[in-house]
Amino acid sequence: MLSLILPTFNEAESLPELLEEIETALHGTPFEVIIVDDDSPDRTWELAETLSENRPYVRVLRRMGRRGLSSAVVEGFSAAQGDVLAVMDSDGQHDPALLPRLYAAIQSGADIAIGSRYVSGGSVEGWAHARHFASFVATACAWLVCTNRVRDPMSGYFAVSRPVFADIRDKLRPRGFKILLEILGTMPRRSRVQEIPLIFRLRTRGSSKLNACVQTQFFRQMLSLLWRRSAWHIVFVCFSAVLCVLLGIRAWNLHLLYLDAGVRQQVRQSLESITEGKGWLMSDVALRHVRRDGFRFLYRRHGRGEDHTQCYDFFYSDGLQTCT
Amino acid sequence: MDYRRVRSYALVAFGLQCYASVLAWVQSIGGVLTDEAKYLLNIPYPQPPLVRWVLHLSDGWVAQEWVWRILFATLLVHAAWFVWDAARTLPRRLRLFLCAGWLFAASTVLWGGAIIMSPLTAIQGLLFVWLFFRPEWHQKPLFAFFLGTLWLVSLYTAYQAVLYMPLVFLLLFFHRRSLVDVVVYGCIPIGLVFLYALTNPLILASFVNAGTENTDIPLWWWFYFLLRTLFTGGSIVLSVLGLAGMVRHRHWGFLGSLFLVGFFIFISFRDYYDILFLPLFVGGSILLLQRWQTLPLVPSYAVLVSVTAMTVWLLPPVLSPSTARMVFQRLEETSLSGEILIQGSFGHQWQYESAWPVRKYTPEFLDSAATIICLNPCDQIPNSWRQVPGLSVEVWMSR
Repeated sequence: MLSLILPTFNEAESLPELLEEIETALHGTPFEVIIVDDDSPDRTWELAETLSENRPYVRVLRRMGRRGLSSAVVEGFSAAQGDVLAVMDSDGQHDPALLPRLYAAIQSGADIAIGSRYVSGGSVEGWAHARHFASFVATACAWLVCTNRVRDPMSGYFAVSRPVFADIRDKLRPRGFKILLEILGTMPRRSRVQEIPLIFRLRTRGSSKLNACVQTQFFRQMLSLLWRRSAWHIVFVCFSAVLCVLLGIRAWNLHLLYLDAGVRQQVRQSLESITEGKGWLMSDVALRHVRRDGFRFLYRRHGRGEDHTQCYDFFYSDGLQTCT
Repeated sequence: MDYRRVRSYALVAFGLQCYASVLAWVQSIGGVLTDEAKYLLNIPYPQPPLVRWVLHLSDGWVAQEWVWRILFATLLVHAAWFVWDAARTLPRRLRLFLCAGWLFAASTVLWGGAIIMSPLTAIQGLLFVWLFFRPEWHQKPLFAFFLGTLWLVSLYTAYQAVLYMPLVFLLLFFHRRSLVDVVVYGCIPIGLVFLYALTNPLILASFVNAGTENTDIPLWWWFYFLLRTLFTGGSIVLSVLGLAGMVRHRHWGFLGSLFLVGFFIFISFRDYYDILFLPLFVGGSILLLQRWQTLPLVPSYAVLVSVTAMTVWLLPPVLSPSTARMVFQRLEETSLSGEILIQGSFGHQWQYESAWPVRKYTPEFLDSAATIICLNPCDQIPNSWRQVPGLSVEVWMSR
């Protein structure tokens, strides 16, 4: 059975027509619809309860004191009884005609089936260029945290098999709008993902909920997923970066030695002369900085106990001096 | 846990520790060798700084040499527990044989207790081999991090750890880990150690020297030396079993590392690198015995023991105190204090054994020196100096 979750917030205008489209699309398929409403000011929850009186397949969850699309979807999935769990927007932008294909994909063995705007056959209607660009940037960022390669990880229209959801349920941190991203970031690598072309329709009723707060929530979600998925990578890379910087500075100070044969010859001859004159071992000398007019080195007399260390500058014109 | 089982493990651990102590004691008879002194004094070549920095922290201890010999021998000997675990799918008698192979291979007996990096690198190689035989860990989230950290530590212990690179990359590619894992945990450590090498020109110079110093040795001797280290590495029996296992299973990680180790020994001509073969031979032997499930144990033990005994007899460890130790023990009996001048080419053990600063001999330094050691005959020593009798080298002290 397909359990379809409809998260709603001020979608009273769209809901009746949407339910009719769903009934038409899922004719012949066992299904239930769970409307999860975040206590909408326009009383969407009350309308939903009225509509459910003549539609036994409709259940209503009214959430009071809790907000957020992702958490609404997770609550809906948890209350669902079907073996295929699906979610779509309630604002009319998602075509219910895609639902049978999503259901069939899960029944055929996919772990997750996504209505994708960015596969061949999919598209977005009526967005401004700025919105397209913002979506592209967000999608590209989302790829960093997905364990599986997906063209549209930001889609709000997808179906997942119940066992898969049950496996990852406790690892999900549902916040913000992008529950699919959270699921994709938590699913095991090499899960079976199927993307089905979706034509993302223009919103005809109500108003968009995409604002600066939502965008901030998205980036916080990204960072949280990145940390949870790749904490050890980040620790290792940060440590390596620090080491790389420290060693890089020291190596850069000697770069003339490696790049210029003339400088190399000059430094070698000068060091041999200095160590010969002082009776030092070459292994007690550590080059620190090579310049065209000379070089700096540390003399460290190795022995048991504390080693005597002295810094010297050698100039080809002026000879050996202690470091200033 | 069962008391009898705990007691048996404790007895085995005690026995292993006694064996490690014996190995350390044998190595200590000859005193500190020049390669060992480099690590004990944190002399910045030819190896990266990690272990030698740790050793150097203790160079004020009177018992520094003895403590580290015991520790190095302990690590090498107790690594047999990893061999035991890696071979856990085999019958008990075969596991015991493999552990005996690790403990009593000629390379272990010759280098256990030596304060050099090749036994440590061999232990790290054994850890990579052991991880290969733990496939249930390969998909765990921390596995790649642990492997990458071990790899980084290995490379910063000694450059020769890079010889186990095929094994490390095979572990990273196992179960199709992501490209990010391979780059972060496989390639970044190699890049970091290469960057470290660039900060110390002495290291690169020592590589060039090591690669060119043996060019006058005849070619047949090079092959003979490689073959000899191949056999002493696993005391023939493990060498043969290991090679057969690697080839039969076409295990590219082991074979790749075997090739690199062989090539490295071929060009470097150092006895103590034969131990780098040992973890690969153990791994290959496990692969072979997983298929065979049997082995003629009596002849195998006989070959193991006799090859080790013959190798120790033909290439014995140093069993008399070094000249440096003898000289400085004698000098410490006097009330002497002051700079030591050494004439001729000398190793770092002279710096280690001396309680006083050491410099190369030049007549201009005579005024500030208290002792002259002539490894080549000295001339023009003034009458104000007297020779110390009874030493194998010329030693002069100021009157």
